[in-house]
Amino acid sequence: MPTQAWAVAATLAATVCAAFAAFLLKRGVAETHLALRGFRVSGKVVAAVALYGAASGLFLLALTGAQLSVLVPLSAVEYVWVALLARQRLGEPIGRAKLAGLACIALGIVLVGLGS
Amino acid sequence: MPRATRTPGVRPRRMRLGRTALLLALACSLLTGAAQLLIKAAADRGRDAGWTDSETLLWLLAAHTLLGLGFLAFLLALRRGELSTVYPVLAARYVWVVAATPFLFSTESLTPLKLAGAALTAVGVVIVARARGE
Repeated sequence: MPTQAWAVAATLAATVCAAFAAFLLKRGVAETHLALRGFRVSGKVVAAVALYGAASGLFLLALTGAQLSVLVPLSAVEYVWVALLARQRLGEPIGRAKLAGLACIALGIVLVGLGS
Repeated sequence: MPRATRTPGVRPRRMRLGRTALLLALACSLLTGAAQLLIKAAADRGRDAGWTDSETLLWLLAAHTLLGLGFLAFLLALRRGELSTVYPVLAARYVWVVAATPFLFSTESLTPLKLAGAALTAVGVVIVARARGE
C-alpha cells in the first residue's frame, strides 16, 4: 500500500494530541487515586484520555491510507513535541543527549520512509 | 505520589525500575502494541465493509479495550517508577509491532531498511526518555 500524504498529516496531528495528553497525564497522575477507597481521577487525566481518544481516531483514519509499519515509527514524532512542550511550558532544557535522541528518531523515520 | 525532598548540592538518586513496574511496563507495551494491530485490522475491514460493519466495530472495541488496559498499566507503572525508566521498556513496541505486521496483514511489507529505521527510532526514544531532566 503506497503511503498517502493525508495519512502522514493525520498521524502527525495524532502525535500532537498524544503529546498534549502525555503532558496532562504527567501533571494529573499525582492527583489521581485508583484505590477503591478514596477513588479520585484528576480532570487532567480525563482530558488526557479524551486527547488519547482523538489521537486514536486520527490514527485509525491514517491507517486507511498507509501501512502500520510506516505509521508506528512515524508516531514517535510525539517525543519531539513532548520535548518542545516541556521546554516551552516547564522550562526544561533540551540537552545534547536529548538532541541526539531526537535526531535518532528523525533518522529512524527517514529510514522507514526510504524502506517502504 | 509523595514529592521528593532535595538537599542542595546532592543529586537525587535515580529510582530503580522494580519488578512490578517492569512487568507493568511490559504489559503496557504488549497491550498497546496489540491494540495498534487490532486498529489496523479495523481500518482494513472498515475500508472494505464500512465503518458500521459489526466486525469493524468488534475490532475497534477490542482495540480500545486493550488500549484502556494498557493505559491503566502505564498509570500504575508510572506510580512505581520514573518516566525515564518506564519509557525504554515501552519503546520496544516500535520494533515488535513493525516486525509482526507482514505476518498478520497482506497489505504490509517489511524491508531490512524499515526494520532498521524502527529500531533506530526505538533507540532514539530510549535516549530521549533517559535524558529527561538534563
